[in-house]
Amino acid sequence: MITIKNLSKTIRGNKIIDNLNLKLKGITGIIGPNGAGKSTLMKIIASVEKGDKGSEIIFNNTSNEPIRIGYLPQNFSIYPNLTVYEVLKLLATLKGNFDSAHIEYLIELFNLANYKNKKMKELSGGTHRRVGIAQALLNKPNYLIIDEPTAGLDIIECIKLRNILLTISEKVEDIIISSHLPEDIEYICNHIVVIEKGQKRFEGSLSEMIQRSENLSYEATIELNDLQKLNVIGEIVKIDKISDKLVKVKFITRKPIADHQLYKPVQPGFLGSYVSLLKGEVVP
Amino acid sequence: MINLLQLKSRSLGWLLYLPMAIFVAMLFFIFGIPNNNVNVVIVLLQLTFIPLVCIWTLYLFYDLLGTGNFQYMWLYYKTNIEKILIMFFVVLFIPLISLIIAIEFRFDEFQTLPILMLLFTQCLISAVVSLILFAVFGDVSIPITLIFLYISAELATFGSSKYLYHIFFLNLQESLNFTNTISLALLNLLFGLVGYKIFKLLIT
Repeated sequence: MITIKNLSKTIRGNKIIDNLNLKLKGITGIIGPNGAGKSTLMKIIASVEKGDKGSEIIFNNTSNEPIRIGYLPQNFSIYPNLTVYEVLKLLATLKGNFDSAHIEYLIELFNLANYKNKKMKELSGGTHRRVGIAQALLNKPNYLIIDEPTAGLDIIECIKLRNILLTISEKVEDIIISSHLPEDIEYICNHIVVIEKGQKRFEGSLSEMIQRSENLSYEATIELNDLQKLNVIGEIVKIDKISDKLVKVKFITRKPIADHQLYKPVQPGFLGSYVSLLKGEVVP
Repeated sequence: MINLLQLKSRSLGWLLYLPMAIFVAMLFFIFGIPNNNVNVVIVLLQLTFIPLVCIWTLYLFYDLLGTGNFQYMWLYYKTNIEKILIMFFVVLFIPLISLIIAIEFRFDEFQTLPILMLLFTQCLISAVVSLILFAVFGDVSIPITLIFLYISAELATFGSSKYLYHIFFLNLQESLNFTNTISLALLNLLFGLVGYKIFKLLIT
């Protein structure tokens, strides 16, 4: 478990993170809109950046092994002229723990055998990201921190990468994943943190998150022309087209709904809960 | 560490072959031209190897300073930046020392130690200045441009401009010995060491 106490980060007078207190355990997903402070938080957990004075990050290591952190930044674009194997070898040597058997194991684990001798610049986005996660595991970390694992990937690559992350979750103590995509978090994580403007909106399990917005989610079948009117009442999270004129809409609102014949209460799901949290109050 | 330099040099691309080409060209210049002046050879040696040192150093740390991944790459570099620089200097000095031995073999009036001392301090200061410029601007083209501007200015004025600090020994008349190189070498060494401290301060 990683305990974060009174974490703040100010950059050039702007408060990027504002007094965060978190207990990250298992596979934690940090989700929030762009500019929420996710990447800064990930950098601070990975010891790449420091928090403001008074901030504390405590790694509650259950094993006797020393703390080793593996980190994949949001933008991992290095050594375009080196092959996948060479990049892993170079980074392992730089870290002072070159072990060819471990590199071969990672290549196998991430299904990179066919790309081993391909240059980094020749790889697709998904393969590039897989190499990125493999490099984060070079030092056999007990804490893995991955910033936007599926950034810029197509849906098939996203699914592959999510499966890989689930596989490696058994090999490390805690995984922290940040994403602005709810699907990433819903699929992989058992502990969720929602942040917005550097402040915590929610921390807990998926079921707790859904529970919190249970009475805020509604469904309605309306005419396509009425979509704009619905936008005034709440936030649309899903639209299914029924016919050329009719759509089934799922939306979140905090306003009282009078016409229950037109608007039917439904389970919010992860996306609905997430949207309602972003519109809600700040959790201390 | 040799592994590391091998891999890093692979990322240099065509720049890896440049010292070999310079080495062969210098050998030809030393042995192939009759009635050659040793001072001309020394000037040429400085003017080819020093810019090369700058470019090599820049590309040696390109992943750290030029890819926008500084904070992340620093996790890898923070314990071994000196080791890499020392290894790089050792590797660089193999062709340089070979050329100096060749010059000693060819020219009778040549003194090895002063030129070695001078070249070492010139390599140090030029590498450090390149790194400082790279750390400040974060774009490899800026230090390269500034270095070539400096070398062009030095060459055009043949080291006589009072507005520039002169790291080169550009004298075709006087023979190169301890007396006329020691002050330049010491200054280069001092500025090189101070510069390295500044570079470390900039990146940490």
